[in-house]
Amino acid sequence: MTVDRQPPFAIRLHARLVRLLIPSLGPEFADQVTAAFRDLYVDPANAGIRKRVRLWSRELRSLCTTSFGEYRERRDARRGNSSRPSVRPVTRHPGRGFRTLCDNVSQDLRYAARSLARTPGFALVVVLSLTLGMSVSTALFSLVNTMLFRLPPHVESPHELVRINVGGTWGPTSYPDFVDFRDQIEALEDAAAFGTGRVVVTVPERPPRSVTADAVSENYFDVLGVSTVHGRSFVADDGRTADVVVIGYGFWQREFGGDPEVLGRRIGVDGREHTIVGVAEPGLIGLVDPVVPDLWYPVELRFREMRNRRSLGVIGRLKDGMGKTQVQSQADLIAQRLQSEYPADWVSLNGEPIPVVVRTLKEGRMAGGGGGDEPPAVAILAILVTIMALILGIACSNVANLMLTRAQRRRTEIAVRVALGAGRGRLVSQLLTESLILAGAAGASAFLVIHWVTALLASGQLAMGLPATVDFTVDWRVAVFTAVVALGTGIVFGLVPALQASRPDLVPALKGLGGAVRGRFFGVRHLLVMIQVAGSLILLVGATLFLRSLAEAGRADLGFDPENVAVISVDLAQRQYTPEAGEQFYSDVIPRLSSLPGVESVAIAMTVLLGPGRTLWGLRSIEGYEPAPGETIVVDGNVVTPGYFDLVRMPLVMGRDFTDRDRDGAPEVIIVNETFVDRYFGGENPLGRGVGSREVVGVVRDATYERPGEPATPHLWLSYAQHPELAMRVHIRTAANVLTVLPALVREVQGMDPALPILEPSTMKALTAEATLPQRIMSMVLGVTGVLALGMAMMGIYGVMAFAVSQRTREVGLRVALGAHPGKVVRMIVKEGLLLSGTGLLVGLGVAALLTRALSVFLYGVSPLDPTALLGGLGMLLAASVAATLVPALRAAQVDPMESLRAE
Amino acid sequence: MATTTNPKSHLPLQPHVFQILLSLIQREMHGYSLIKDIGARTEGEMVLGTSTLYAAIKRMVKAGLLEEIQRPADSDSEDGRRRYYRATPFGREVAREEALRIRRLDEMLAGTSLLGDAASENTGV
Repeated sequence: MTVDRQPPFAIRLHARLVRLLIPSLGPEFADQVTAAFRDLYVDPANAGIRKRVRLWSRELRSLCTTSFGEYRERRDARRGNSSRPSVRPVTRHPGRGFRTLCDNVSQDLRYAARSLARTPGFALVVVLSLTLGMSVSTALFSLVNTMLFRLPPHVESPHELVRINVGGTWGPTSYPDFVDFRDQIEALEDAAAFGTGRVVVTVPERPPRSVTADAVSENYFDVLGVSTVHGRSFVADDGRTADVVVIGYGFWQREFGGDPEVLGRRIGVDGREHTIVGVAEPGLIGLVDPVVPDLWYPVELRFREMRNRRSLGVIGRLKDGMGKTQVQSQADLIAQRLQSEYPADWVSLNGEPIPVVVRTLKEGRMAGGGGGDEPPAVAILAILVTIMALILGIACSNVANLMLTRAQRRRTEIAVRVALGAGRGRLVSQLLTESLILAGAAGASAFLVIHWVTALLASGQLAMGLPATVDFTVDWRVAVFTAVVALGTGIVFGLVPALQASRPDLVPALKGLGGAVRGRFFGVRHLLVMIQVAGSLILLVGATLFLRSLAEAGRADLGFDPENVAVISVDLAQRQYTPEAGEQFYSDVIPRLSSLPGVESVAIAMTVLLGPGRTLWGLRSIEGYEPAPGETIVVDGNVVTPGYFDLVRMPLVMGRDFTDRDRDGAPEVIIVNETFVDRYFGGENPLGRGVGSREVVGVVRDATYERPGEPATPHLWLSYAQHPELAMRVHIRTAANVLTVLPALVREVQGMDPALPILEPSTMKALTAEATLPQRIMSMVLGVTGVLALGMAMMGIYGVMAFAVSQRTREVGLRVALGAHPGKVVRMIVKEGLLLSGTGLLVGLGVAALLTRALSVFLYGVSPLDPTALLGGLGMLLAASVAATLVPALRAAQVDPMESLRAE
Repeated sequence: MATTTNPKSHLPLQPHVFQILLSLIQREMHGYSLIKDIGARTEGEMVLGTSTLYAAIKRMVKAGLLEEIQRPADSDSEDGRRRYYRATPFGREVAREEALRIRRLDEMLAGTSLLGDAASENTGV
């Protein structure tokens, strides 16, 4: 056996339990118990899982009985019943007051445990449904928690932090503007700038990779109040005098194995050598997204003078006694000055001054870090919270129904206890104890499930293609949430049945008669089933809407053909290419790739259709178009080489494609789409007309650009030769399966510059699929929860109907005895079941129609009131209700009249 | 210490208390070996949990049935927390009285048909 410094967990746990449960033993004896347990634990005779389980169950039993025994002995000693420790078997005495309470609680616990153990099936079903409901809601809560509440750990007094945004609620700032804010806002102690992006990192002897990085002002760590575990953070002038980086804790562990000698090592960041000066604290996540940056570097010098390059967030720390409003009013003054000094950057095209908006950090998280066009985070949150409430509500009603049924079955037992003098309070507390035990068990297992799932997420096994490490940790808020939910559901689903059951009608109950089942008691159960049915309908309709919208998107004509097109993204800026060298590279790459076997055509574009990233072009003027007052002309655009439209199968409807003659020095040309023509040229022939300084030479058919199914928007294309860029995407159409050719393509490009990092070579098909990722995730979440809800609703309807039928055995028997046809009995019962679920369905339909409006942001090609989705959900639930009612109905029809009448 | 000198006042003994006494009358032992010894003697019928054992030992020491002794010199135990116990003369007396009580019980039973039935049941299976 190895000698451990710290004893195994089992032994420590045992020692804890001994001290906790048998405090009267004293430290000396407790130590001896632990020593003996250790001997037993390491004894080879107790090795193996089964032997260990047996050992533990014996020990736990021993702990509990000893604990009770010791407690009883102390109590008796206090009452003077026994003056000496006894080695004789004990006798029990009844008690009063607080001791009675203790006794009652322990009695309730034992009674509840025994009664649950007698009906293990019931206990299992209840714990499972609650675990299901709680883990789904806890999972969704931990998502909400990450998005909304959790601030980066280690950040000092986060409530003192504010964000300063330019141009909109979360608009970015330029570095010179940031400096003005930092130096001139008196209410701020200090302010820092940060910008999250992707950089290419090259660690010696490793392939280059793309990681998340924050470009920050040198005081970023100081303003946040976070530090480093190794080395230092940035100091003033770091950005001016040296290329330095602080690496993330995770990156340090991953790439350098946590080597403390990492300081001073050099890594490439976007092709430039940087020296590692520090390692950040673990768990330092981004300020806006819950994404873990892998490194931080000072904002590049060339951007520090550019007032028109708005790419940074600004975070300020308030001075003592100062608030958001003071910062806002001082920032407004600065903005007014900037508007008059730099109208080009501070006045929008329509002549309106650009505003400054100050928000607290918490408000910043609400908005998420995405651009303006993404579905608002608040909408996602609202949907998640709704799903959470629905699932939990359904699980609770289900369990409450089961508890009611059980309480009803135990009427005789309860009546006996009442007759023997049990008070109502005692009965309620005992029934409540049962439900709290169940809820506690479910809460604990839900927490474990969530812990396990988030651990899986963190380990990257469930990365689901996320581009970066997202930090979903189960923190105290999640734990408190689960505990509160468990306690709340325990009380809610336990209290109603307990109160109902503790007021039994003594005489018929004692006689073992069911008695009448209608009236108030049954009203509660009806209501619960209706809640379940309505809730499941809402979830199912939501899920169907998403599925329909995905199908719609898949069917929709994209306006181009992504099949068999490879996309290789190249960023020559990372290798410090000059613009001329870049142009040379791209003009070389086309013939080289074209000559490869299997390649049909090659073209280059700045962005990929439906892919990540977009470029907006502000237009000063369009010939013949009079902008409305306050209108700005901002149009999506792309930069492409000749042959691009043919390659992506986007047909020209008028004019010509770009040619090799459309290069620098030649007249500037532009190609637009049909919607552009309709919108800005009133549908007239646009050829030869001017867009800014460029002349329209062609019109292409409308296509989808950002999201499948979206309405067509104006779009323009410029000639690459007239607008060369260093970061481009090479498109290659292949004759056969693109995946078989892709490796050869990558090798060829790599051959042109072996040091050039080639990131994520992909296919156009895969990139367009990414465009529907949020929709697919939402439909998956709703689909899974919808099916779970459907199952629970079925269980609920079945439970109520089966119980109702069993209570009416006599009535059914009488009907059959009087000559009623069994088919008629079945119809009667099914009709009642459908009436029950029908009411729930009507309510659910109404609520669903209201709620699905919130989904409209995510849907395309499908109305939130899509009849297929509404009727489909309705149909599924109706079928489920019929199925759930049919079983008890058929059973009732087989009732032997004599049998049922004799039962009384 | 509030101990009584009348051995009969402790009767009847709890079964595990009697077993502990039986073991410790023969030789001094610590907790772990006690559990094994009792388990072996009762052929696995009585395997004590550690807390039950020490709660009993504590009460027995207080009642004067057991005493703690210095570790035997030949002990190979490296664990200082192990304590050894043995039965006191009074403890022996109590055990003896309990044994006599059981013997009397046995003799009483011999006059009934109770055990005869049980024996035939046992052999019959």
